[in-house]
Amino acid sequence: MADIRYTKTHEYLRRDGAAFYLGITDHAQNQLGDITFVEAPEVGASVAAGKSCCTVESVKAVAEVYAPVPLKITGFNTRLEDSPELVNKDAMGEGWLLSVELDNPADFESLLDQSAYYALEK
Amino acid sequence: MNLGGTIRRTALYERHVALEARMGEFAGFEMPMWYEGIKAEHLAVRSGVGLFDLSHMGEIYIEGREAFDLVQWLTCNDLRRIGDGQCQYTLFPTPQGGVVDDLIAYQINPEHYMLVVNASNIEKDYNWILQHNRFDCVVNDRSDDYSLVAVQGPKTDELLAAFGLKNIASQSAFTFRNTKVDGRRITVAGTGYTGERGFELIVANDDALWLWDRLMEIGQPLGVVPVGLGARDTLRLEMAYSLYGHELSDDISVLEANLAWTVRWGPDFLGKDVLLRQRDEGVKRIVTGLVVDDKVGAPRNSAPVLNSAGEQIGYVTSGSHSPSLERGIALALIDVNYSKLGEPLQVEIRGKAAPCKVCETPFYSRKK
Repeated sequence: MADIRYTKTHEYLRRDGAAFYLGITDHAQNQLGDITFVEAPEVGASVAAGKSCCTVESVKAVAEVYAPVPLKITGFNTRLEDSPELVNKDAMGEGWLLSVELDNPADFESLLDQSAYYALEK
Repeated sequence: MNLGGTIRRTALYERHVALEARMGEFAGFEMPMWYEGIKAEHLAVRSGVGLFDLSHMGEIYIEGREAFDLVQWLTCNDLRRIGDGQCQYTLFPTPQGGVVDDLIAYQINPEHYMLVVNASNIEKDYNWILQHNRFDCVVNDRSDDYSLVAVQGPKTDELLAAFGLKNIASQSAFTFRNTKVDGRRITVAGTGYTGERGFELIVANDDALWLWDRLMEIGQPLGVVPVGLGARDTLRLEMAYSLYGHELSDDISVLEANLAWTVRWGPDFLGKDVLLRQRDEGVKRIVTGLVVDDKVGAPRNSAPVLNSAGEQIGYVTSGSHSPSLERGIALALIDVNYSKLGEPLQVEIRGKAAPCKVCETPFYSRKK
């Protein structure tokens, strides 16, 4: 069972050992429709909580992806350069957007757990 | 809208819900934006066949001894170029040369026309026609009586033949006929908004569910898919077809919209003097196709267009990702001095200037 936390603005953070991966939720990709482009972020940048760290475009919409907690961007899912549709196919898995380091790893626990997030979707 | 904010539904609403369509408001109607996804639906129309519920579109009838004279006075194309059973893409120009709406005029006979108009403009168009009706004919808005299902894509003929329209393959674009299938009356028009072989089928509202269900069922072996307004927009944009509220408005002249091909200078029509003057003097700005050089996302509506020095020379009227070209494309209203093919320009994408070029339209050519 993956260790995943969510935001009200439909981002998720996945913890995999010491690493963290940021993406948009399955609900979010479903709302946006076909993802056509993910803007590569500035790797190495520090981003404050609630600030944009990445932009996702669908055929019809442009959506900002917000940092759930203060973090530093350490990498980008380069497979999205040629296959942005991975976000639609597997938003919570292979369609992750960024690898990040949390300024304070304990912040992870302050985010919504799955049941709290699902309750929001209703 | 005339119903004071009430959202309206077409006769096929329950089918869209059953198909789990993403619904959205368009022109006062709750319409399907997409079902499986815009890209899949778009590509299905380019390579197979798709069904569109376009029942929100308007049908206005003009009937009487001088019906021809009224329609010709209000439209800039030459109505004499079509005969009975033929239809024509045309525009209602304003007296200042702008555009009230674009439409397709169907000539049942010179004393009887049906005009298919944009959903967002039904009431405005109806009032426009009434206001200028100094002719011996009557005008009826019958938009609420009819449903319209478009069948578009290279497998259209195969689907419609199986449906019961046996000689469909010999029916040309921009012709229409009234016929019956299973005893139900259908108007079969060789029209569309996708650039593909296709027809628009008009039936009484009571027959809409029957028509949709039959086409979905018969089309199954052909891979028919329902197509929402999202792909309708990307399909029309790849063809550089104008959309009211984007390339067409009160403030953009017919010639600025790059629709000189719809204007015939023989007949007299409202707004002709202004358009003649524009033709002779030339326009200062024109709707032009742009293709973004790199994969940097898509230009969006109203994004500034800049010259290579970074000065704004126009704005995007319609912009999107093109599923066929896998590029950002746009129609933009720009300074005519920058409208040469291949002209290097820039367009703002997410606040940054992205290199683009003036390109030929349509953006997409149908595969032979």
